Amino acid sequence: MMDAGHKTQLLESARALIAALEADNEPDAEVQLTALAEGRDNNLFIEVGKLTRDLHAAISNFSVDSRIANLTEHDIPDSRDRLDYVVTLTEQAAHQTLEAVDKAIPAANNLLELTKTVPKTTDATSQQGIDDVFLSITQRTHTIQSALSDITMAQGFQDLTGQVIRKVTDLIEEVETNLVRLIKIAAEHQPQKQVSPIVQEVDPLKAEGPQMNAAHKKNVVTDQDDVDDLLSSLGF
Amino acid sequence: MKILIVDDFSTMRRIIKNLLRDLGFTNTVEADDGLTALPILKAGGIDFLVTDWNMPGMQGIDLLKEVRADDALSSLPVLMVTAETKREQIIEAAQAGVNGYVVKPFTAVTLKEKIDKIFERIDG
Repeated sequence: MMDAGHKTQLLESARALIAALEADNEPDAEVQLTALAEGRDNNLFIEVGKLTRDLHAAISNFSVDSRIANLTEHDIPDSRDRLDYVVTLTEQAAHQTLEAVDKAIPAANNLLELTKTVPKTTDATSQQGIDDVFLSITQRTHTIQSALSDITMAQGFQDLTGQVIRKVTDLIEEVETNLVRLIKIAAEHQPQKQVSPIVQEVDPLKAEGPQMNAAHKKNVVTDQDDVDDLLSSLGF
Repeated sequence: MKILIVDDFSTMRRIIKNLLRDLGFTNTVEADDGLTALPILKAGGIDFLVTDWNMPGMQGIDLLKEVRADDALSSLPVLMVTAETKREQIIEAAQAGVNGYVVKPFTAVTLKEKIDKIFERIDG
């Protein structure tokens, strides 16, 4: 963009150049031509100077913001550790739960069998048998109680992993905000041009793990019934 | 009946193993991806394959294709148990010759239903 003062100056030089040329005044024409070129150079210098100042400010703002350096050097590797921790903890809890179930199921089965062995009559000789059965029932019940309590305790992972996951999502949000800022700063220095959206080739067979918001995705089934319907439509 | 369970998560292998045990299938072996599963399958003696899709090394869909391409294994019944729920994936698995497709999280009832159905078809 050319400011008004500069424009007037250019016009004056141009008119003087034409006048000098028409008058066959060669030295004068030379002077006006040089003035024109200088005017153009000056304007370019001003623009380059402005850009340099902006760029310098942007760069120094970035280095001043130690948060960004910290993000890349510390927080992101730390997030990986945190997520590994979540995997380890959830795995441990799942195994603890399964072990408790493994203990509870035979004990419960055993209880059921024991109730069938209670003598039907209560004469003096069967009293000992009844006492034995009740002792066994008490023992098995304690096993089941403690297994159930282990299952409850194992669920404590949810609290711990939940806190860790929340920290990581906060970090991701911060990285996103900083990236948006970076893009904005870069865009201010970019000449406006039409940017065609990048079309990403997606392999529909690529494994993605559990789908988030499956209900909003057209090519994703939401439950086993959908899978069965799809397969039966294929002749399964 | 010897069953090979392939999943990269030991928890999931254990859950499937326990469910199969409750269904009366006590003879199971485990592998953590297609690459470790294939030698076990090729060694022979496996009657049924339960596999996840998303695993490091060799994925379940590629394991299925390897099985179908192997003369000695081509008729092995394969049940896919996976969190992959895109239509394209289910169709791909069906075309590759999967015998059943169970999506995670699943219930004991669903697993039993699909296994019963597979054996019904084989016996029938």
